[in-house]
Amino acid sequence: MHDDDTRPIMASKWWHDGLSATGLSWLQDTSYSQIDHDLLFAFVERWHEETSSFHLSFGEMTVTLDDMSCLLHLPIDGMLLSHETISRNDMVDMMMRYLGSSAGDALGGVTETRGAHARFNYLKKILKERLQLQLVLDNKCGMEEDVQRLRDQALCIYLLYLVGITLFTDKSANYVDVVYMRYFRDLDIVFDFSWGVACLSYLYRELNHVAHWSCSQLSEYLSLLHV
Amino acid sequence: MLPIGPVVSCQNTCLCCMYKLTIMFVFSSVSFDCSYIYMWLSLLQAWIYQHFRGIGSNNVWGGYRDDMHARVMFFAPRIGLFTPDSYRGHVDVLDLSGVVMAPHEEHHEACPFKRVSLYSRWLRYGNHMVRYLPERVLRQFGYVQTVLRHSCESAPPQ
Repeated sequence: MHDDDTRPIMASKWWHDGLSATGLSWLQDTSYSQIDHDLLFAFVERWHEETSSFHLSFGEMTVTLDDMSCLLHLPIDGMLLSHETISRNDMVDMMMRYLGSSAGDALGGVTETRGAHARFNYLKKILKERLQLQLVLDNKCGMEEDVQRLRDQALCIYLLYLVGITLFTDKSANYVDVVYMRYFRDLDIVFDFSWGVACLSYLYRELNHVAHWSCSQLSEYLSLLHV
Repeated sequence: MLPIGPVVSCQNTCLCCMYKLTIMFVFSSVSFDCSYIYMWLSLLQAWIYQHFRGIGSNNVWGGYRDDMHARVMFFAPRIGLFTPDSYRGHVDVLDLSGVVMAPHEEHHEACPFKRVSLYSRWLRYGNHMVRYLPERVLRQFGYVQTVLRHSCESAPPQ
């Protein structure tokens, strides 16, 4: 997303203000460059889906909403993220309306990816286009409305990318579900959604997956041992 | 006749190894790439550093009080203090003295405590549901832990 062409534009005030108003700009900075897998193994194997907690020698512990708020500064009160999977047609429609893609362009994105997903490469490409075009129009007079529209589109594209690489990372890690775009339709209310709840639920779900997966694999090994 | 003891312990060791391999595989199947951030892994690691003494760096508290910055970014990437086996051993023998139950208490000035954290039941995200039962971990909020209800009673199956 950040290259030599876009970096100066993304350093400008409107970009920074627009992004911080959504309350999600922290996501750019919150991560470890190195994950201590061994440490995580030790905890994940003590995770229990029935109680959504780690069973330790002295009792149970779990990641709470308070942790989400204090560690990530994501809002934990507000509207829940609620969505169903969307059809390809809806997806093309949304991409045209909110990202400013042309029908052919959006359709290309659909056929390239499985389901209603947008490739990161595609998002990168159109973000750059929007940013450069708004810069050109900004230097002309009387184009304020167009400039604003392009800036909103650029922010929307970037937010979609940002949640795709952080909060809701897909295993293949090269595309994001377009359904999240519905939360960026109006940039003024992005902050009113409880992103912290969504992130915590996602964490629990991933832990359930890993715990469940290792259990079923283990039982296979067990039967192997008996043989 | 074979002595039973050694056979059992041998089986246990095998099982242990296989179990570890399995979990390693699960993690490695999440393909790691520097350009993508697996937030849930980072988050879990940050949570462990916050709540358990002796794991993670000592200066995790630094820099937060004067600043509203998210804390995760302050943690320097580090290499584990223990080898995998002793991580497990360490977690096995943890007692309450090694645990910081409510690490955010002093930071609630900067980031106020919200009562919604105490909500206990189901959480929904998209079309998925997970149990969220902080009533089982009230100590983490600085409250007294009571006798726990059955999880089905706390969050009745839908």
